[in-house]
Amino acid sequence: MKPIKGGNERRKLALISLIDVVFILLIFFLVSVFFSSLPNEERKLFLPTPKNEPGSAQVLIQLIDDESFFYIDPLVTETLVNDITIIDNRGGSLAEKRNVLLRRCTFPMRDERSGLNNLVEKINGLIDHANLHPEEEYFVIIRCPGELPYRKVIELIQLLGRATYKNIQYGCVGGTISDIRGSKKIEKRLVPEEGQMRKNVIIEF
Amino acid sequence: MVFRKIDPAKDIELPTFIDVVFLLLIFFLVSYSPITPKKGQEELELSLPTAQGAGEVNVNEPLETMLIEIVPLKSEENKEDYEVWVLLPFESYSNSQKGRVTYRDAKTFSMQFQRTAVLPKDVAALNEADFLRLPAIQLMNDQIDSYVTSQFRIPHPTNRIDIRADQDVQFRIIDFIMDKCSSYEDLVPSMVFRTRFKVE
Repeated sequence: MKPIKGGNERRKLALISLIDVVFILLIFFLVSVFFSSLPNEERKLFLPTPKNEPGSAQVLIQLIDDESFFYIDPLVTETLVNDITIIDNRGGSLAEKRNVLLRRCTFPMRDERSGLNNLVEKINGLIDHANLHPEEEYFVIIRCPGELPYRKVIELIQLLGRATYKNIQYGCVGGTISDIRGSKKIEKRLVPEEGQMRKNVIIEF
Repeated sequence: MVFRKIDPAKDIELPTFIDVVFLLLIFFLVSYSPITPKKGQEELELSLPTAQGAGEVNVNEPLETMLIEIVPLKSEENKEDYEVWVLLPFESYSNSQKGRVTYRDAKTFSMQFQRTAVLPKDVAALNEADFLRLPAIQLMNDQIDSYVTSQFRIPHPTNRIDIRADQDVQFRIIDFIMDKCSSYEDLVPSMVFRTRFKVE
């Protein structure tokens, strides 16, 4: 019987595809082996020990709970200085200043509309700013309440460590939002910073 | 004679089809981040020691400085508690052996000299006095005192204390260690948190 010509062609084509599949499988297994053989590497995160004295920082992060956080950065500081000036001028009380401080600086952890983590977004913004201004140094204080798992702090430190020029320094202390709610003094003050006098907010616990 | 009609559009070759499927599979596998966030945690790249963390530590690694390890207790009765281990890079505070004691040896020494204690998982509700009376806190307090006074005689950037703790350890415990270190001011300028990452 005479073989059908078309059938031969089809058989040859299938063989090529088969070889192709075999090679793809080979690549797949090679890639799998590569990823599965990646070792778990322990990384060392350095954290400076806090000093037992009042400190100043450009950014204050007070972790409250899983739902919210307290955050002051240079941008918020400007608004706060204006608010405190207004309260001071009309002889307002400390309670008023506390309310303004808490209202302006307390944020939900998750943005309702976008679903993004507000704290992460703020830190990313800070990192972007630090990357654009490598000559500027930033100091971030992270305050964490005792009941929260310490990984929350480590996660923030890891984020801050992404600044390209390593111009973001950080420190970490224990503390709760109650310390800020019960602050003994809130006032604006001129603070020398990088050869300039800048208006800053002093919170005394 | 009636022949079966072959519709070229329906004649999809199986190997080609598998080929495409595998290509897609590889594409998604490669494009997907190999570090997966754990349940309940988003945008996580960090993997701190878990309940089985101690088992994945390089036991032959020589210790460089004091290592405080806080890991979940393996006992069936107290699953909710942690155990604190104070591991020293040498025994009998002999400088000649510094750097030679491996993690495994240090653990053996710690067990032998009872430098281990149980720590309750939830310490947030304890008042300061009760917290400081906890055996594990006292152990860390005494050992840090002993280590710092004997080893860190002058301030130096390399003076440090290492901490390897389960990721759910409450910050109060870490804060205690930090406060303890900061009480020595410049003698202990930094602490190191040892966290486990996958290589990116």
